[in-house]
Amino acid sequence: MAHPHRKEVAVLAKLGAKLIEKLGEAMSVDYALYVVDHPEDLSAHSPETAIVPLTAIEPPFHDWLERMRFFSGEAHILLVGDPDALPEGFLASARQGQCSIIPTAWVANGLFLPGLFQACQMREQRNQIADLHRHERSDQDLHRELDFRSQVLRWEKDFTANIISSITSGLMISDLEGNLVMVNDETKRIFGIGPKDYLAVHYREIFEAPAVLAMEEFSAAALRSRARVVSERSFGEDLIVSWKCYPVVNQAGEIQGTLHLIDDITKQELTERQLVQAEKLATMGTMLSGVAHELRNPLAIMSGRCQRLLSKKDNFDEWTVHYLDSINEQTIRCGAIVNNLLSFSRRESAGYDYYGLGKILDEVLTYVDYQNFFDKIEVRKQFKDDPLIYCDRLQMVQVFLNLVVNAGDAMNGHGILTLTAQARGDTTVVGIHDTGEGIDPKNMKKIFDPFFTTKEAGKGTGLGLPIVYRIVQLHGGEIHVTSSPGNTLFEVILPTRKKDGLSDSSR
Amino acid sequence: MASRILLVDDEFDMIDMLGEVLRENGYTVETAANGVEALTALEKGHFDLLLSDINMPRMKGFELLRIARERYPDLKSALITAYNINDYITLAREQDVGNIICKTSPFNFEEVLSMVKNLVTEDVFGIEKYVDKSAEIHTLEIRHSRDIDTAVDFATEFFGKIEAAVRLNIALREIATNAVFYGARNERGDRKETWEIDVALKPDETVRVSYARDAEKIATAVVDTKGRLTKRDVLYWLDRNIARDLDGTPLNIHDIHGRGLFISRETIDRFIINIRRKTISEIISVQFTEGKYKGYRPLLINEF
Repeated sequence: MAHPHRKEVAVLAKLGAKLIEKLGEAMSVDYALYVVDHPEDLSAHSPETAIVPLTAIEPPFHDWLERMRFFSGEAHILLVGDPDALPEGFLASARQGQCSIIPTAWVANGLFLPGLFQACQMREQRNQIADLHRHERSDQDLHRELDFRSQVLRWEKDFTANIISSITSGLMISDLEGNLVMVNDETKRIFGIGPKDYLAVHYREIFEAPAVLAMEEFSAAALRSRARVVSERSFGEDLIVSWKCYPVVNQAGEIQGTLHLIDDITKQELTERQLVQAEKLATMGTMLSGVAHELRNPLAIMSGRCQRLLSKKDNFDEWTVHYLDSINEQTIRCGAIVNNLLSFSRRESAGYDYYGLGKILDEVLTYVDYQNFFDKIEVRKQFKDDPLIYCDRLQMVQVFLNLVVNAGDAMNGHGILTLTAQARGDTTVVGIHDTGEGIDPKNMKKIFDPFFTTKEAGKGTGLGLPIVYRIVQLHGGEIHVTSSPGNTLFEVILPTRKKDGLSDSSR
Repeated sequence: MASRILLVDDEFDMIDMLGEVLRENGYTVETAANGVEALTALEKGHFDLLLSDINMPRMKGFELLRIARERYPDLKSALITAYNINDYITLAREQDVGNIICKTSPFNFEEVLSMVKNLVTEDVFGIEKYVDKSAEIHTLEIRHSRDIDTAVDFATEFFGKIEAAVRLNIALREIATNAVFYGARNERGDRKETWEIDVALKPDETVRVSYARDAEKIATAVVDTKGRLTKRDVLYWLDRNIARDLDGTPLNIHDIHGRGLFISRETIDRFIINIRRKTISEIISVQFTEGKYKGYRPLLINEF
């Protein structure tokens, strides 16, 4: 049988003494333990390296590891020639016992040091407390000297470690096969995976399917093009990341693996989308305003003429009157559309002041109280406290009236409308909940778009929600929607206090 | 002798139609298509009322009115526009124009006729002029500050449970309160903490509230007999609440004076202010029960 890792092992053996010295200084590693299938290949090795033939490893592995620890002192890092050749169950046991496994193949492909670094990081974190105890037991003078040296070296190591763990990007290094050499804390946070040591674990076993797919795609692209690959990817509704994948190339120009820098841009993306939406609405508003204004004169004349004709309807036959009625009605309908367009693009404000939210919602309810289709709707008010908001009262009434009427429409006259209001930090959160049919998921993104309406022709202008959106934006607030059949909630979050810049530019 | 009206608009169809309606109602009407033609017509004959569109080429309505008033001080004038009246509020204040009505769809002929009649006859006071002859009318007196609540409660009862009434009542409370404290008792807005808010009114401080209801509309009128309100004040407050500076900030962003009046006007379909200086201040609110004339609200302020 060939010795696939002979070369690496030979290199390690040469490095052996030097390696241990360096590791010992920087990372308090006492022994390096080599597990190889042909120990005779390792002819020259230092006293600090322990060679264990593969054949010596037998279950129960936990016991074996304990023996090794005893033998080697503090061997928590196993340099393994071929992890696949190890007896089944050994790796799992080793990891459980908090050993880090590093394939010796990483020596050849230049990923060895990062991997080792990672392993030592993990080890270091676990051993903080053990360290303290150890120092107490040593001789005082020796202890002081060692302490001093290790402090200096520890500072150097910590410095690098801190850099890596505090960069706000997620950092991952993987070898060509996909085994992870390094995974920093931010990556773990972004993908919601545990704080464990994933050394030499394949990414397939760590991440969920969408992230695995992303990993595969980006790695393949980076390796194929031998260049950086930059992309954005959404993982569901709650996570959007920017992903940069770099091929890791050694000095000879050979690719050793891939490096991934991942940034969580969810918040920025969402903010930007809100801004784009607001921009869209503002542009549309200006355009529409011009057109709508031009239509007013002709419409007024048309209506006026029809009304005048109809005031003399006795002069006409029934058919003519019927036609005139129709023209009149349609003209008035045009007028209503024009009014809606103009109120959409109007930038009216009565000025901002502090108003009680409860009073505003009560006013809104009195308006709908008298509307027929609200007769059979049960209205529940759950106002916790009576929060104040800094707002334009006329506009706020418009916002909530729109939302409440929409809720009523969705319930088709039957259901429960729940209004909630409560303070949350320096904002007030208003909830309008209905038990109506809900919003189709594929429409969710469009509901704030102008003219989008699911109502039949002539029944809705599709401007209600865009107006609501704009007003909430102008107030420095946010609006969120969640919906499923029987359960739709619009949440409007408003500042309780004057926000900086708000009173200076109420557009 | 019939009153003579000069109608000015570059929209021919509009003055053709309006001219016809006014003639049917007993007025003599002449027309002009622009400001220059209008001034020529004014020179040639005597007119009682000048009614002009605002947005015309070469000479805007405001400019025409300014020149015409200078030359003919007895000439009454008003503007009509298809655009947003609030956009012209600053000009209205600067030029002391108190009557601007809108071209709406459906077209409100009744409003045109009502305004024309008021301007020409100068007989503007009284709620009955703003509702049908068949309307039901009631009047209450506010003799004590507590009566403000009574006045609003009566409105709720009288007008019933309709949406138009909700708006009317909200404005009524605001207007009645203003009439009692600012109008009758002459309190200062910046000294609210010194006000006696539970106070009996002297006989000459009584505030009268009228309620009217006809087939199409409901209305309230609030009258005080001190006449402290002035057209200039009203235009000033409306301007401050409506107009913006270059950044888009309302001029009154930091002070709230006149905001109640502004909000009332925004809430009510047709808001009319009639003033006889130092004698009567009357604020009339008219609301269409079916919301017939949605759109821009007219500016109707008469001062004598």
